[in-house]
Amino acid sequence: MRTLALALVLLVASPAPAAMPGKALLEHLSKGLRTTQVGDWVTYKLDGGGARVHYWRLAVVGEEKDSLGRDALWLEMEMGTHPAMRAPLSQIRMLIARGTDGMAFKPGSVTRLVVAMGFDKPQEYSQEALDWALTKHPQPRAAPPPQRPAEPPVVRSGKETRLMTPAGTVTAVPIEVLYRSTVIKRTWMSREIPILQLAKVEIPRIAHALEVFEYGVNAKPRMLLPDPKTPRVKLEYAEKAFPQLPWLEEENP
Amino acid sequence: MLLAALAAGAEQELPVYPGTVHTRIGNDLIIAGEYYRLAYFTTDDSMEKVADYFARHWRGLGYPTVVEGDLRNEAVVSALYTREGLQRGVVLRRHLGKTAGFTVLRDLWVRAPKKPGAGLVKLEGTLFSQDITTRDDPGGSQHRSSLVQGGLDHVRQQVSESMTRQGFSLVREVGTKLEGELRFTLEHARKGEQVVTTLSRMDEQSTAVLQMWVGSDRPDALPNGEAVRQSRAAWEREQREKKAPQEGAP
Repeated sequence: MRTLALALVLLVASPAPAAMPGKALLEHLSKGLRTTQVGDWVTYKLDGGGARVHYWRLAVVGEEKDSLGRDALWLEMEMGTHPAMRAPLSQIRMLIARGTDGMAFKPGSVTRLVVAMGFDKPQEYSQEALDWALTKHPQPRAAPPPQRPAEPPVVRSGKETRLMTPAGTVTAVPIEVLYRSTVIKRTWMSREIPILQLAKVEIPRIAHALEVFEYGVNAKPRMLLPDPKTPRVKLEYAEKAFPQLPWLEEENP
Repeated sequence: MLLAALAAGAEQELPVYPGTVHTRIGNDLIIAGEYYRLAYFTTDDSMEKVADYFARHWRGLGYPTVVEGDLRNEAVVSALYTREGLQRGVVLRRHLGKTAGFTVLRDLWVRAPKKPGAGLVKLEGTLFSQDITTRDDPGGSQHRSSLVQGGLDHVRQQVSESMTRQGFSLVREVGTKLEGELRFTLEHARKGEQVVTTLSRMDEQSTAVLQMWVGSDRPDALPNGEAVRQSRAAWEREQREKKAPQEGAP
C-alpha cells in the first residue's frame, strides 16, 4: 500500500501546473500539455545508490465510465527490479476518474483497485477494503522535535533547458527546493513525458534519483485480471478470523 | 490447472540445461498440495557452471533469481515468474563425479483440492507427514511419508486397524532386517486399490511410515500401462519359447 500511497500523491500532486511556482514552468507547459490518453506509458528508474535500483512503470490501458458515471481511466502501475517488468514485484491496476482544470486525475477518485504483491494472484479490493486503503489513518504521534527558529524552505524554478535522460533528451524545467543554500530536492518537469509530465527528481544530499527511463504511447494491458470467482480482498476482523484459523479447524472439524 | 492453462493454452515448460537429455519424473505431481513438474539431467559440467547458466539466463530476462548452496556439493537456483504465478528452479547435486540437476516447475497460485487418499492413514501421534501424488494416465498413485510417535509394534497395530476399518484386507506381511533394524512391509488390497505400507523403527519413541496407494480400474490394481507391458512381454516370451524347439529340431 506504500507504493499506492506514493503513486496517488504523485498522480494528484504533480500535474497541477497552476500550483507550481515560476513563470518558466508555466510557459513550458503552455506550449502544449498533452491530455493523458489510453496507451500512454512511462517507466522510471529509481536509483537509491549501489544495488538499490528499481523500476516503476505507469501505463494507461483503458477507459470507461466508473460506477458514478464519470469518465475514468484504467491505470496500471508496476514496480520491479528490471525495466522489462517480466516479473514485477508489485502490480496495481486502478480505475481513476479523469481530473478537470488540467489535472490528469481527480484526487480521491479511485473506484476500483486490483492488486498483486510478489507472486500473489491478482485480487480486486472489495468496497470496504478500498475505502480503508484510501482513507488516511492517524498514526501515533512521536514527541514533537525541539523548536527551532522557523526558516521556511525556498522553492525556485530555473529556465527551460535540454535534459539528458536514459529515455533520450527532453525539454524540461527544473524546480528546486532549497533550505538555506542547500538544494534539498530538484524536480524536472517536461510536457513531453506522458501521464505525470515528470522527467526527473533528484535528492542530491543522499544521492537518490528518479528519472524517466522509457516512455511511449502504445501501452497494452499486461496484468492478469482475476476471474469473477476469485475472492475479493476483504477486511478481516480478529474476533471472526481467529476461531477459523486452518490449524484450529483441523483440530476441531 | 495453471501450469497448462497459461500462455493461451501453451504448456508451461520446465527449465532446460542445453546439451543434456532431460527425463521427466512422473507426469504432473502434487507435493504437499501443490502442483509440480520435475525432470532430471546429468552433465560433466561443474556445478558452478550449471548454476551460473541458469542464474544468468533468468536474471538476464529480468526474473527475480536466487542462488543458494555452496556450489560444490549442492546448489539451488530459483526464479519467480510473478505475472504467471510460477516458480522455475533447478536443484543441483554431485553424483558419481557428475553434476545431477533436478529441474522444477511449481505452480504458486493453484493448490490441489484436499482429497486425502483412501487407505493412506493419518495416525494419532503423527509428528510429520507429507503427501506426494502422481497423476499418470494408466492410474494414479499417492505416497505419504510420516513420522509417528510410538514403537514399531504399536504403530503397526494402529495401521492394521485403520486399514481394516476402511475395508482393506491384509494380503501379505513381510518382516525383514536392514542394517540390523527390523522393518515391516504390509500389503493391503481392496477392489481396484492396493496400499503398500513400510514401517521402520527410527528410535524407541518413533517410527517412520511410508505408504504407497495405487489405484486403477483393474481388479488387481495394476496400472493399465504396466498390465499391457507385462502382457506383451509374456506373449513375446511365449513366442520365443515356441520358436526355440523348432530351430533346434534336425
